[in-house]
Amino acid sequence: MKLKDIDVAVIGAGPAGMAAAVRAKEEGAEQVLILERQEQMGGLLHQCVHNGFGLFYFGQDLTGPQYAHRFAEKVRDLGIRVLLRTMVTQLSSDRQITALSKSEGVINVKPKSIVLAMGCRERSRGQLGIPGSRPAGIFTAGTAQRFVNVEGWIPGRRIVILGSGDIGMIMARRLMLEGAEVMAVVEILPYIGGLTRNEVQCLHDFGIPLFLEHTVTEIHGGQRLEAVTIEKVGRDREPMSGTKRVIECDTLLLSVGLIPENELSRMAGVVIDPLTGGPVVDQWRETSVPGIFAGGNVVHVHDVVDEVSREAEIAGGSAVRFARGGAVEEERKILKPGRNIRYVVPQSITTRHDVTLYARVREMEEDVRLRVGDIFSKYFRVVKPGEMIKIDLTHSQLGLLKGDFVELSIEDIKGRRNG
Amino acid sequence: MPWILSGATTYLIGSEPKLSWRYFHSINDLMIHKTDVLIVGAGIAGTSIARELSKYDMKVALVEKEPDVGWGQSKASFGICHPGARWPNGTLAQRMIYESHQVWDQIIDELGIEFLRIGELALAFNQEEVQHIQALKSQGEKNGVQGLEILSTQETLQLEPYVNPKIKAALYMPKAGIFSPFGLVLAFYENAKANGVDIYFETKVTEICLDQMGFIVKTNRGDIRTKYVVNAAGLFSQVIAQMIGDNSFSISYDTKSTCIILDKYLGEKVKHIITGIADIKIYHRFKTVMPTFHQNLLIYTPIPEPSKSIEDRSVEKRAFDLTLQDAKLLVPDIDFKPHIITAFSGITARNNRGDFIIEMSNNHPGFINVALPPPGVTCAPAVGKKVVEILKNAGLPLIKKSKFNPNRKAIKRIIHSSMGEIQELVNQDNRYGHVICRCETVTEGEIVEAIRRGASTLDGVKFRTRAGMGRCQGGFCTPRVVKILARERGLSEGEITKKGSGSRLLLYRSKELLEVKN
Repeated sequence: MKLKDIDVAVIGAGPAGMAAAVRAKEEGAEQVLILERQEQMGGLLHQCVHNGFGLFYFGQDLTGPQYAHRFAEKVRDLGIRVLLRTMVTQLSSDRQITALSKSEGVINVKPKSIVLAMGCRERSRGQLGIPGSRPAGIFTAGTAQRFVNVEGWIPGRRIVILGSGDIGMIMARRLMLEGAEVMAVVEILPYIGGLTRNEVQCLHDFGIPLFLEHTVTEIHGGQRLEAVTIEKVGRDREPMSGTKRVIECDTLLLSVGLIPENELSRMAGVVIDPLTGGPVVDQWRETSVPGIFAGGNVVHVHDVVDEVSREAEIAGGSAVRFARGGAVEEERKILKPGRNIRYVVPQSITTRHDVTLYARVREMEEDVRLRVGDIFSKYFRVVKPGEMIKIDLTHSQLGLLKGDFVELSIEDIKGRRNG
Repeated sequence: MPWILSGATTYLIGSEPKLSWRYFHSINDLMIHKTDVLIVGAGIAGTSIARELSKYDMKVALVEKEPDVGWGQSKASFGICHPGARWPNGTLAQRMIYESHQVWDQIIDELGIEFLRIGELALAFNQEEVQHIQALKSQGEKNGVQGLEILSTQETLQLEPYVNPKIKAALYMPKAGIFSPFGLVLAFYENAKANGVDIYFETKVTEICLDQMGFIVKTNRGDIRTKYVVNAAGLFSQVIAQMIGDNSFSISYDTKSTCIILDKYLGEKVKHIITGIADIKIYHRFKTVMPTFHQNLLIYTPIPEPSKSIEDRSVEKRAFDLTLQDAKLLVPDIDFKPHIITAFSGITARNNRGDFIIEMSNNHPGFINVALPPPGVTCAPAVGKKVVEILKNAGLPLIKKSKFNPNRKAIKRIIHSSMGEIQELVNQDNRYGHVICRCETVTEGEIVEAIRRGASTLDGVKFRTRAGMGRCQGGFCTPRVVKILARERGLSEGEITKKGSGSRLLLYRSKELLEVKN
């Protein structure tokens, strides 16, 4: 099947894809198309049956499916065309999309612009290289979440969770509510990887033991998982001798980080930022390939879905302008991560428009000041890798920037708060 | 209470299915009790022997203790098809390699085997190693290996830009190739089965008794009478031989090797099998960086690391780190670590004679031992023929079957099909348009076909279709594959296992644990 006269094609109908498509349509794109590999819109929100979604975007405390439903309704109301069970298999730099669909077979589309909204995936056991055997009973937290919340199956009754990402902590609580026993949440860092609110509401409130500066060093069991060995780690994050303890369990969940899914982006020649794992984008969320935009977790992994939607809206709006032929080359300034900054998104900005920057730190640090060149600084009592920093800058501030590069950095100001 | 017979399972209505869950194949609980030849072990040796025997008019049965084929050493093979320079002239291994190369092209074609002839570059980093590869070249030429050539550093880098520029020379072996190792075992198995070989999974031989007619082979699932036994039990071949009092060889399982699989993104960067010398005195121990048939990158380094037991396939941290370190020596400019998908270990069954063993047991005529250290995969066709010859000499009448079908078709893979072929497939069956595994582009159609061909577990589906073998390691597709397996096999999702008995993936239904507690 060949689809013609598409203005904006959005790859993915998760929170990012839906928001991008809705914005594109609202800003006047005539033909907006969403290509979605699953059987329904909403992406991973369907398995996120807990609350805490929409606090920023809607000012309401919603569950994942509720949040998804609001956008899905908008998509329907606006008459946006959605192809479900349709997986994009090829993407070229001249915006030729090839997809495979259950109902149509091979689909070819060449839209005027594209928004990448493929989201992210979980880091797996193999990527961690945890030594030991390979029994059944090891799942990523998200896979377990789907089994529990969508399929109605509980993987096991004695659970250890490696990593303290948000999905891991939420699954710890979820499994306790299901009557399973969460023996331990094990985190290699001296602080948790996810949001503080999840540490409090999911771990502390349920009395789940949290082992900071520990990691799983061996997996035991032939056919089904029988136990894991955990060890305390030193400053170098290597196991310390004499700290081994074996925890008997039938299930190990991994919540050890998310990776933006950019295989299609690479295929199209989009430049990937090794720091975020996502495309290098400008403030309009345009990638290095003209006419290909990106938003949401495919760009960088966000803490909350509200920010995913917002970023994707920028991409959707920009894609419409491109489709209309409205792209204007502007002078760009490159943002560079400085001391204790892991990454900044967008990676480049213009100085004529207000912009919001998103940054993550490398290490937890207390009593610090964040600086953007010499135009902005803000005090933080604490910064953590698990909590994204958002910086709103106005065009009048940006007008003061000099040079082609702008550095973001964290300054340690212990004892000299007003310095 | 009524019994329900639903294709795959037998269970009592109202009873907890997980209490009585059973296997696809076990319904036939050894309906055969008599056969002419019984093969023990369905690895590459057992399946290729079975296929060769299926050309003749006789009853052949194959028993395997695992729930699937190729789950011993074959599963962990790298799938290199060696041209044959590394094994000394006159050894049985070398002869088997040579003879196999005479027929491989035909068999690859007949069985739809996934194979790519990509060539090998054996690197030499110093003068001593240059001498080593020169000697290897002479030995190869003596063995009849064609196209061997010593390349300069410059010539090597032209063929393979990522190779370490510090090399002094390389031996180019253009005839080397790569199989999909599991696909290879499947090809032989499926064709043998189609030609009438009976195959019994989860059937473990416990005892072998003598009988006037031959042997009575006792298993956990009943007795089998057979005139001939072919012991192709791999790591367990010594145990099987000892059942008839044959102590003529021993198998050591103290060489465990670890191999790391990397993202396809890196697989594109390396075009050849790149090897480095691991032991200056031994040709067939080498470090490897190579693309797999499916375009992942595979790295390996031999580390003589005693395994804790014959079943020990745990990955040790030391082996993992050394493997990365050695790969870096062969191709320094590839950053491996961020692209690791998985690592696994396998045990190599080496025997005390240091060569292939394919022979009639001295204890009993009619009992054949087959013990293949590497390169078993390369030699599969010749091993099958050799066993048939031994059986013939032992008096087994060989009458060619008129209806033997030499051809077998592999499962159609969407990822390797043209757009036109895909459209045609989807028009016939729209499940071929429904992608289940996004990393490897595996469709529902392929998974259903794999189950139809005998995949009964999550790993069985994975090895046949590659669903779950990609960069997310089954994170997204596992729940979907479990659902399809349950649906196709008429089981509940809770009965689906990763790799057979004792490896159920989902232990409780939602709320079940709460009911137990209350």
